[in-house]
Amino acid sequence: MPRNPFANPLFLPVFLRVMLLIVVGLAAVLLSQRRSLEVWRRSTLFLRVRTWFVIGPLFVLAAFIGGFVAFLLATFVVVQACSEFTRIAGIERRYAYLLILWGELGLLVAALARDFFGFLPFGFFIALTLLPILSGRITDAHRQVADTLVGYVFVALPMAYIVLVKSAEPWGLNFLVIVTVSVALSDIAAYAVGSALRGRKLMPRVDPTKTWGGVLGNLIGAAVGVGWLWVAVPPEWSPAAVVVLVLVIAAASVWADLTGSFIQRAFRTEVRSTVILGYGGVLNRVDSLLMAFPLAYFALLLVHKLLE
Amino acid sequence: MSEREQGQPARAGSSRKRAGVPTYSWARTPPARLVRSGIQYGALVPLLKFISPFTVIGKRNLSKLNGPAVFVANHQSHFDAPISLAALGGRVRRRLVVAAAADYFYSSAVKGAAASLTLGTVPFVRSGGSSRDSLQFLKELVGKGWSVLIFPSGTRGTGASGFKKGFAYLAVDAQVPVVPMYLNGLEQVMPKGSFIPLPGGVVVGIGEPIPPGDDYNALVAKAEAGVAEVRAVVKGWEGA
Repeated sequence: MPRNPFANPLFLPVFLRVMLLIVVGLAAVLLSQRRSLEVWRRSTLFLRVRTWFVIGPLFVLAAFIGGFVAFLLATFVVVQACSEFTRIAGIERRYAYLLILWGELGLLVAALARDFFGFLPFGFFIALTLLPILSGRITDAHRQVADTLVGYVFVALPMAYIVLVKSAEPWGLNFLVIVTVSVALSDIAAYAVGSALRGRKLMPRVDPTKTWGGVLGNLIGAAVGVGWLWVAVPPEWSPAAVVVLVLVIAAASVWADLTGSFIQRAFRTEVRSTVILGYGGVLNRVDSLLMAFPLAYFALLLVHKLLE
Repeated sequence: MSEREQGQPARAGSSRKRAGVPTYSWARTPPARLVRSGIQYGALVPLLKFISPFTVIGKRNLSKLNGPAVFVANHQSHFDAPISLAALGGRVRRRLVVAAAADYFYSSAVKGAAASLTLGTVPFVRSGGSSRDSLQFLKELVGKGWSVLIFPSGTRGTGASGFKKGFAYLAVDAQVPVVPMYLNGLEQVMPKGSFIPLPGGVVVGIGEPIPPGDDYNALVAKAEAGVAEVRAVVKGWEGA
């Protein structure tokens, strides 16, 4: 059921911090650009900041309201991100529909029938292999099945994890907000610090733009993100767990960047989406979060287990 | 026969039925328009934004219009008309009809009524002498202040050139401007032969209104050039 976000004492502090972050980002970009407003209004950076003014509050509101509002947002992300992946990978439409449907089913199972969550990946594999078996169309089916599986593990399953953790853990909402904001800051800081410092390339054969300076930016962004939302860090999280969280978010952001580049190159595609102004596709915007979220969650559980 | 004469109707049809195809005039009455507005604002546009989030480029060109116009666009998908309607916005949409293939959308009474009510379509006979009746009917609508959205390539998936002249007859004879549009991305959302959309972003480009002049062929060439120009803008846009 949707909840009144103002009833949660965490809502206003988080909302204001996120908005302040966006305003500071806008000011920083304006100062660094030093261009006329007319030129600035036509730039990618303007579109990106404008986009943040929409998706920032939208995300915080949906997360705190919960219920079908959060479900609608999650559905939009699953549908659009899965679609984009199928275009990048050249996946046939029937496999694409299955990926989207199973992604939606995953959200429902994570929210309403958590006991069956573990069956989701295996169930998807069964449904996926039944497609060529029942249709009799087996030419190129091995590639279609394999690529669709990658799409499921890359996009749909992590989205189901987000819903699962948010609904199952008492601190699920705090974790979602902290990880989402930190991942976004990590990405932005990687771009800013990487552009400023440049330095040695990290993996030039995979992504010629990623530098060690950018990796440092990832780490700084993740640390600033967690620190900025310290108000949302639950008291039961130990300092060691928070440090691990920062490291894992930074590492996962780097990994997500490289994986995104690897996928683009592996599929030799120039497919671009237009869903989010200034960013292109939904997948492009959420891939770091999708990869960081389950990893950060299990890292946190592991640290808590070790410290018990 | 001169070009001008070709644009004249072969015969005048009744306002209720032309060439064996009903005109669904009830769909343009105030109550039906109210229902259509409700459907479009309440369901169609939100659904389209969910399935195919669209970005509109050049919407300010619409402010240069101060009366009815003929909108021409490339045709790739059954989603073209709904996305165009959503992109044009409520002010234009309120008095806009979509020329829809009579042999496809009006093959049954229920299908025709549903299309007329939800999208504001009117039947357009694509070939034979009856197409002149369709053109005459559209001219009458333009005379009453209705704009027309038409896909002049005639069928889906034929690109943004090779426009048929029907829209030019309409614009020149009624002396209304032609507005070129280009829809990018819908060929992936729902290409010809597909009946379930695969979600994805779409960009709609709207060009500057082209004055009708008095030469049909020249207007066709200008409209094709206009659509090509909008296409270049859309393709060059960084999000596309």
